[in-house]
Amino acid sequence: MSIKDRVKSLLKEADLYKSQRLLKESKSKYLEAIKLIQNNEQIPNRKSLINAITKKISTLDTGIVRWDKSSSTPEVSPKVQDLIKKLFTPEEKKDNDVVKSLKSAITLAKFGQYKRAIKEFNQLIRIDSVCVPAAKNSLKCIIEVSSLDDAVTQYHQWMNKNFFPNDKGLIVKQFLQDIITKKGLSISLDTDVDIEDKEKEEDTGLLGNSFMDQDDEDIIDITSIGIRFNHGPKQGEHVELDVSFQAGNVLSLIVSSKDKLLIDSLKIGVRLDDMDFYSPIAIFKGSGIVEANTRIESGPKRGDYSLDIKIHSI
Amino acid sequence: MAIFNIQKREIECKIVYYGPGRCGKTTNLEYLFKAFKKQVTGEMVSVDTEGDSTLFFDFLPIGLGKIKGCDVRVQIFTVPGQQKYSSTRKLVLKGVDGIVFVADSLEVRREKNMLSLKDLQQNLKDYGLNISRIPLVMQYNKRDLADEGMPIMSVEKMGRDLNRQLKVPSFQASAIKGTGVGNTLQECLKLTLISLQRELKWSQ
Ligand SMILES: Nc1nc2c(ncn2[C@@H]2O[C@H](COP(=O)(O)OP(=O)(O)OP(=O)(O)O)[C@@H](O)[C@H]2O)c(=O)[nH]1
Ligand SMILES: [Mg+2]
Repeated sequence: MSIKDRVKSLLKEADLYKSQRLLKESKSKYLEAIKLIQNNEQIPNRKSLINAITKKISTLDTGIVRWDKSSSTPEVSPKVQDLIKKLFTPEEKKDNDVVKSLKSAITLAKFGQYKRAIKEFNQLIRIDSVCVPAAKNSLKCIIEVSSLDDAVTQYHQWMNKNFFPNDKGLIVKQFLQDIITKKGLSISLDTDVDIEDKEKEEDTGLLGNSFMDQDDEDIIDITSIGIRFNHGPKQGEHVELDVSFQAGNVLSLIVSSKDKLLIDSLKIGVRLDDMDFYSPIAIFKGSGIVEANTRIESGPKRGDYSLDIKIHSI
Repeated sequence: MAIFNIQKREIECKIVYYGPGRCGKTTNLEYLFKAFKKQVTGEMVSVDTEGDSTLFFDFLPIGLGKIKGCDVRVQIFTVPGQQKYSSTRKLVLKGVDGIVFVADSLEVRREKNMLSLKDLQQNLKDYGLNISRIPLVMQYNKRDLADEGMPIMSVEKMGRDLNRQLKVPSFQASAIKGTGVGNTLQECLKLTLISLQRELKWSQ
């Protein structure tokens, strides 16, 4: 192929990639073409040719920058949001309307539709049975969409209006305080009233278990876990297991029948104090309790063991 | 996970088109929407960006009529293939029953094909599914570009890259022209229904 033909073919390739919006690939072909032209003085009109290609590259660069900067979860129209709720909210027969609304608001949040999700969570906060998960998720969305400061402001507004019944405000408070601590900040959510509450609650030991409430539905999905055994037959070992199903704070896993020692180490009631919880976003440290350990009697996993581990704290 | 309503004898299952950005997943669905009007049971919805990359998903509902006494409905989705949409990609994959992996035949996209397949394997694993057990077919798309003298990979090379271990059925296609598009989906549906019949035992 003559040099001229090679240049032509490179440009054709670059144009095609551009038309398919393979912008980086297109740019790299244009650059190759320029190099070839620069190295071959016999090509006529080199200067204007190079100029023309450089212009094309700069248009591509604008496109690439715009693409890199664009949000990966922009807000979409209410109609599309409704469709997202309909198509991606997991349905369970036992769910009542309130739980359904909570789940569909969580779906919106997962798809980055924070503003509408916040609106929906804030309506659910008035309903006792779901006020805690609604508040937690609302705060998470506020942090995503604006700032931690705004989440703190929202929290105080709720508290001033006495939104939460009984100890539920404390659960929300602890949740937000944990986020603040994880970020290494030292904002305190305490008010005078709270401090009194805290003393009372230390008496009853309420805070310890209440972070993951039974009716809690969180955005975080745990995809796998790590367990470090500090005693028992697996002492000193670190084991990683995939989560096959998650219902609230209970994780179900399958352990192969071949791993007898592991099955024996995970008897019902065993407390696991040194656990890692892997989510798509981050790894959390925490503890858990084995709630079920049963042999699977039918299906392709027959003979293996199905384990439920309840998250005790994260 | 397919929804099986025993009383109504209805099954609804989910097929997902997966693959790297710009490989032609949306173009596959657009062709299906036009060519299989009879089976299509609703509008095709595309949620895309201004640059026509898929942002969240494309969605196309189809009906297959009665199969072994059961009304079978299929929800077809495409994922957004571009790297930056990894979290929505995973959400769209959730509950999948069968997968079409669309690979780009363009030589310059070779690595992206492999990365996307790896990403699929990892996401399935996170959902407790195994890529070598789930109903899966491969499509080597954009074959028409050979006629325009564009550097594309041979089918053998793509098979070695992507299908050496999986050994799933594979199809050459040109989604833009429609060649191979119907065959790809048909095979995927076949594998998916066989697997669901085994799992749900609905034909008994
Ligand atoms: N020549 C040719 N072009 C194709 C073919 N299939 C798709 N394209 C083009 O490739 C580009 C990308 O196609 P899409 O269908 O949007 O790709 P996608 O896989 O949905 O991309 P993402 O949504 O970004 O993941 C478009 O310009 C299509 O016209 C094909 O078979 N042949
Ligand atoms: Mg697309």
